[in-house]
Amino acid sequence: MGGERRGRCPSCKGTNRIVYGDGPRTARVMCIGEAPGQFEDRVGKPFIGPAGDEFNQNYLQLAGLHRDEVYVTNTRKCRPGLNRKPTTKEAWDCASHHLPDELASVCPEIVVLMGATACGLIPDDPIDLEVEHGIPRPAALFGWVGWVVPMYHPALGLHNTSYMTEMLEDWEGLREWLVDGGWRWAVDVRAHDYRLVERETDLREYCRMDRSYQYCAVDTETHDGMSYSIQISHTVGTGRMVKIGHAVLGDLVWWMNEQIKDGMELILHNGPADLPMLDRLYVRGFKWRDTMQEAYQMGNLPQSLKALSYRLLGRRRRSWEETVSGPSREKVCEWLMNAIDHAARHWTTKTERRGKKGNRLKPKVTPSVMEVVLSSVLKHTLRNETYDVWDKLQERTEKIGGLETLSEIFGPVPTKGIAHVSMKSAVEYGCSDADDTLAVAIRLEELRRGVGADVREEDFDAVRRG
Amino acid sequence: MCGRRTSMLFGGVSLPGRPDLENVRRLDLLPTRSILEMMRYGIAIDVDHLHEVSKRLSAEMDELRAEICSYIPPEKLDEFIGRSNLDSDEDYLPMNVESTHQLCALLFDVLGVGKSKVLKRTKGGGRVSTGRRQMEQLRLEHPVVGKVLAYRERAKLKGTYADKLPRIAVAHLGGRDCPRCGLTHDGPTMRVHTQILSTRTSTGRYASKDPNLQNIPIRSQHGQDIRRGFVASPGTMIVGVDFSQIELRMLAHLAGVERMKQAFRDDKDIHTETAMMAFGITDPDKVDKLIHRAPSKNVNFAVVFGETALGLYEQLVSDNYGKAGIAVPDWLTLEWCEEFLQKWFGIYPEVVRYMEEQRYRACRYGLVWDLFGRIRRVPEVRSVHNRVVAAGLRQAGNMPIQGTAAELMKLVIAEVQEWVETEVRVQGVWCQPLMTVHDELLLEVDEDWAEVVREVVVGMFENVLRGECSVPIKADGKVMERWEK
Repeated sequence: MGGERRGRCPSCKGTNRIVYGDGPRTARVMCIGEAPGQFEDRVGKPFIGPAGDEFNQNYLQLAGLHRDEVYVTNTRKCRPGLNRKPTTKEAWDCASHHLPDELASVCPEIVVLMGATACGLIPDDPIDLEVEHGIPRPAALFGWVGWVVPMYHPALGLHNTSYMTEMLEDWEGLREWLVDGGWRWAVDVRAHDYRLVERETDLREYCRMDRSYQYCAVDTETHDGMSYSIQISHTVGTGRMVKIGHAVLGDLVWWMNEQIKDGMELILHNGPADLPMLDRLYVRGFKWRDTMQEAYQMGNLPQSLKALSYRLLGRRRRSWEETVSGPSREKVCEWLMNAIDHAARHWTTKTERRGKKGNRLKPKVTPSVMEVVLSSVLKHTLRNETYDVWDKLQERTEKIGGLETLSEIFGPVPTKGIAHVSMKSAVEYGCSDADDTLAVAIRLEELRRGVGADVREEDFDAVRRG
Repeated sequence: MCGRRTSMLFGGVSLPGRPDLENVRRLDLLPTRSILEMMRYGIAIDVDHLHEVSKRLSAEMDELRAEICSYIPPEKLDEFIGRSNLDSDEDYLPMNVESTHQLCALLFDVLGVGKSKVLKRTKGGGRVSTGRRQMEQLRLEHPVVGKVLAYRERAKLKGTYADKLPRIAVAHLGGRDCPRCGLTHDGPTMRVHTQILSTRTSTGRYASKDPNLQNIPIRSQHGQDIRRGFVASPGTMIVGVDFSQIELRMLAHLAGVERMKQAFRDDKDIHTETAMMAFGITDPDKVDKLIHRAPSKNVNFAVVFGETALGLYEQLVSDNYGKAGIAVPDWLTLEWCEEFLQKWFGIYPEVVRYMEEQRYRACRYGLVWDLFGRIRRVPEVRSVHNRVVAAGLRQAGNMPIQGTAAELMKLVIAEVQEWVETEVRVQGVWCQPLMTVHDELLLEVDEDWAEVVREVVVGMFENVLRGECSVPIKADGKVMERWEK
């Protein structure tokens, strides 16, 4: 048992048994789960229920570990009522009460954080499990500093077996690392060259006519249903953006069509989103590939470009949502402030009031319902980054009416989109989209070749003609 | 075992019979253009019809709710009134059927439904589950259960389709260059644009969302009513073509089931044939629909999904007898189902060998594949829990069958699209694929040409494998004003 046993944490109501960590003080690996379940609560040892069996006999073995050589504990030490997930506060209170001592006592080389609750113990640099599962990162945890490996919780595979392949691969990856320190995770060290094409010479320099290109990754951006830009990348680490309506767009389309005639293949990520714009631009008759579909066909990879880029290339990129959300919210806040000001000036009701002696009192000012609603939406938008201002605005003003009038005066409510982002960020985001698509396609090509390569010919489908 | 198959089908796709992601890549890209057009064009709905259906569903829900409430004993009435959030004076009924809390109280505390059984509890063990599966099993225990299920079915259809479809439909104007889709329409229509997703299922099937048009029940009358809300645009007809028993045909082909193949070649009813063999009946007229054909049909389909004897028993009890309101006969027991399954595998022994083959592939390679080379990983076989392993092996047996059927649909969609573009539209005939739902493809065609298109498309369906299948592939085509079964 590692560490001094401390009593109940401040958020513990004291109804269930405290299940302390279990394992040797000298353990090289410490695994932190979520909270004890009914079996753990009954016996007083962590990870001994169905998820525990899977963890002990399947995942640990894949990592070349035995339960006796691993220190296993939970974020929360007592079972929350009815097997529910502990709240963030409960998890944090309990972890900060017990874990510092456990970590100091065991001082592991590696901490495996299993599940979102345990991964939440690193609040400064939040772990996105879908993107980062199975990939180690250096981190500090209650005074301990070392390698942290985020993993899906062993129970997840039992509830939803579609995650199981990735989970098995994660633990197998850990084995290689533990045994010989072999680093099998991609690391991106390349500098990149992303630019907005503003002159014809810029385009000619990048898209040369005296060369034939085998592939070109293409990405398109729309804003509020209108075409915004097209990005291309024919060499990994590079990318160019051309805004729709710019004079060089015609040259780009001409270059693409000429290269397509010479056999250039287009690579898209989620093609159905880009094909309509390519059609509108008269980019026609091309052969194409779709990295999203290819990742799907592999059966063990995520489909988002953000997750694929990190897992296959070691590149950290921002998703569309992360890129456009902040600037778009700023635009909406601006619009809301104008609208509130207008509502306050023109829609407020003033009621004359007289005192008992008939003297005039200060009039009673009643703000309009629209002003109250808009102010409330603005307040929440400013306070909470995850507040969906577009949805809420629609929902809360639906029954009041008046939004149309405001839209006539100040224009429609700004939608979430790339046009609100600074040009530098837009170029960075758009070009990296095309560039990452190209790099992912190349990596996928290697991985796909390996699928089923070990299937023996005698195991091929038999021909059973009647 | 023989070597691999490399015959070329439409679009250069082949049947490698081994994992072949390159072939699958080619196949998956083929129908993209058609799918994009389907999403852009949408499908017309009859708003008035759906409003009518919604009203009818509301009325039926009120009736059912009153009937359910009539089971509350008078002495317990106050207790339920206290629990309900009655928000209007007109709402005189004391119970909210959609509240699982109140439903639990009525079914299990007051009426004592399922007292003799071990009932499944909700996650965390809080209360007895009122989930669909458990309720189906309790259907014959008390008449109120059937009414609750009927209420739920209506509530679901009303909320998801009858009320929602008119709300999300988009107006397409008549005339040239419709601002919504850029096409020419004979008259204005309200159209629903569903999203068709190609990377969501593990078997390669398409999924649909906002709204999910693949989830409208086909067997129930109410599901049919909702389907009838989808109509042809003015001046056109809907042509619907679907594969007939495609999964069973694929099972017969993949597993090399001789008796099944023969029945399909002779164009016999496979379920009646199975019943005759299982029950030793020689005259097809003596096959009873409920006693003989129903279990045979259930097993025929159940085997494709790796169903167990318990699953078969539950299906027969709830689907065949429960919904028909007929008391379960004494002979229908779990043991009978086990015996019947064994008998079934005796008739079609090749299926056992086929399942073993899939199990072997799952255990040895960690994956199974369909005829076109799409893979499904089976990590479940590594689990220490038998139920997880069993579930994985069931999926392993099912995937090649369902996957191959789904790939056939993709091939057909691509082939039809090419034919429409190169041979139909050039003659000035309006023809547009509208939607694909599992094994069915819907097209919108100029009235005068609907019959011709139906005939050609049925031919394309039936010839999709260009004779590379040991079982004849059959398709049924229909010309309709409204989407019907």
